[in-house]
Amino acid sequence: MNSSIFRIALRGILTALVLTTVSRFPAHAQTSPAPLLKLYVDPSTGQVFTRPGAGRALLAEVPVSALDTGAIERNIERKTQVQLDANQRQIQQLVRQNATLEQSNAALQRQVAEIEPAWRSYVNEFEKKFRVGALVYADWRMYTHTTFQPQELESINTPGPQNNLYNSFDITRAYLNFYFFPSEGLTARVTPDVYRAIGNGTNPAIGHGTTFASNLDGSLNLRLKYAYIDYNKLFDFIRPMKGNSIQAGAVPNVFIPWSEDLFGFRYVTLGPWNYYGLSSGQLGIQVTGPLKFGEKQLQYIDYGLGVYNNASYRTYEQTNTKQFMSRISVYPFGAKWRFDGLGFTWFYDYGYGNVAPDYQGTAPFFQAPQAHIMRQAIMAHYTNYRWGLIFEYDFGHNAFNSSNLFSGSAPSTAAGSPYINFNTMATGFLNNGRSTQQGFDVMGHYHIPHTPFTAFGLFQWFEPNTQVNTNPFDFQRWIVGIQWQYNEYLRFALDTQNLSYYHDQFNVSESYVNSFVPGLFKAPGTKVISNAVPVDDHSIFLNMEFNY
Amino acid sequence: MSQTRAAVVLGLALSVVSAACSSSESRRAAEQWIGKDRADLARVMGEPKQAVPLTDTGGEMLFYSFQGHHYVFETNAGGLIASAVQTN
Repeated sequence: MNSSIFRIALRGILTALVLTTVSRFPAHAQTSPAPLLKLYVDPSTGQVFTRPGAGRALLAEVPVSALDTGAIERNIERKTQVQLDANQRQIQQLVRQNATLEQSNAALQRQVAEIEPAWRSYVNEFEKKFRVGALVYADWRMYTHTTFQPQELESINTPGPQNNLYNSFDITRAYLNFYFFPSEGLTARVTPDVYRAIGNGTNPAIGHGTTFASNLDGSLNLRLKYAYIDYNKLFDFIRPMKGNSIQAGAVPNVFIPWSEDLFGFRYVTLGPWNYYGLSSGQLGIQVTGPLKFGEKQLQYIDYGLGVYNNASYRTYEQTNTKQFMSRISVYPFGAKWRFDGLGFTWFYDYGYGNVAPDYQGTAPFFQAPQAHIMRQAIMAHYTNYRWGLIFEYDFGHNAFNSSNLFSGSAPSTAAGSPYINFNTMATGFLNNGRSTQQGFDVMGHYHIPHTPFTAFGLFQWFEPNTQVNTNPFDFQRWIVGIQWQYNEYLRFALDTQNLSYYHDQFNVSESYVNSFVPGLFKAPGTKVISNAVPVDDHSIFLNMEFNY
Repeated sequence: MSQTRAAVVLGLALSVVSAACSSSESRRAAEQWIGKDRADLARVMGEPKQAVPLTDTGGEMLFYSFQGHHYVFETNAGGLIASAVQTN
């Protein structure tokens, strides 16, 4: 029933469709046969097919032209439009994503751009953050006369009397100065230096039947001279103190380096107190700086205060006490530069012998090595562009012992040596824990106008122990030389250095020595140390300094 | 007579002012080197008459004679000029 109704309805529709098409396109239908759409029906099911098949009957033939192409086009257009809209939305979404990505990339580029200047700045600033310098002292020296004496420069030694015409090439200093400036006002300095290793080490036993040879053979080795942190802004809020500096570590102390700078010929010889045994460097903390006043900010005072180990930079500390040093320089008329004009300086140093607190002294010196050490210097100095002159008066307690006197060349105490009693006398006069020292020094230089040459000189008169009536070790020392400033980095000096134990020759009784150290000579009786005054020393030095 | 005296006084005053200005200017001329590298100084003034390394500061004292004037420069550990003075 349903299928018949459906067939009737379908026929009606197709008929109407054909009639409509024919009435709309009469000419074309008559003149050129249009392609037909054939429809087939399965009568048993009522299904319509576009292809023939078993059990199917031709239902109708419909001209293709009769179909509604506009509807199809509209349908296609609609679908296309939907697709286009979808594509457009997708494109817009991609565009938005791309824009977001571009923004992200731009931000990343900005970040990279911000990072790049930082490392570039670091590289650019590197040379401002670091400085490496070098300072080398070298010499050739020849002695027309040799003697027992202190070192003229660090790391040089000389054979004693009867070794005339001894000569040597030396390197007495080879600083590598490493400076690091991490921030404004802060400086870290590390300075290794050479030293001459002297001595015969004991060969170590290795196992039962082996030994290694000691290599303590006089090589030039490196050791740490200075290593400190310097901050120079601490008191800048007090205007007159601008230029102050606080340093901690292995530092150049407040006096010796300053006096070397004042004289200006450290590469030729040690300054007086340095020559007498005070090291230029200790481990400790110190503050230094100028005091400047007035509109022109002239320097009226230059000061230095420090607390250090009793040991020097090259020895280890044994004491439970510490050493104090102070230096104050006054420039009554004001100094336009560091040493300018007339100045007066007072230096004070108080410390103790470098021995452990539980040191148990034995006869005959007992606790003498533990005794206090005091050094003072009172100076008057004048310096201008062309010349400089320094007067210095030194005095001290226990500040000059036999190790200082013989630091450059010492008498042998080996069995059979002719100097055993001489050496014992020296320890009795100088190492007794109650010695007092006194000395006068004059130093100066004059720059010869319109030349690179400067004449210089030094004179020292020193009494190692004023308690001794006539001390055979009283000496005078004098140096005269000429300097050639080859260029900014290099200078040379030709000079003569002389040491004279100036007393006439005499004998010293052993009992007199025992009055300083009882029991030093076991059976003094009337025995004497004959010819107690050492011979003189005369030498010629050719010095060189390289500084960069 | 009083005019002559006034002229002399004026002349002396001008001389003092002139000298003061000149001194001030020369001081400024030296101070312009502060903060500069010592190598720049050497390029302009040549070799120093004396150069003394400063052990304690790590700097250097440089004595220059240039165009009839004398200068004393002190450098710091970084090799930059820390103080500059014209001495005449």
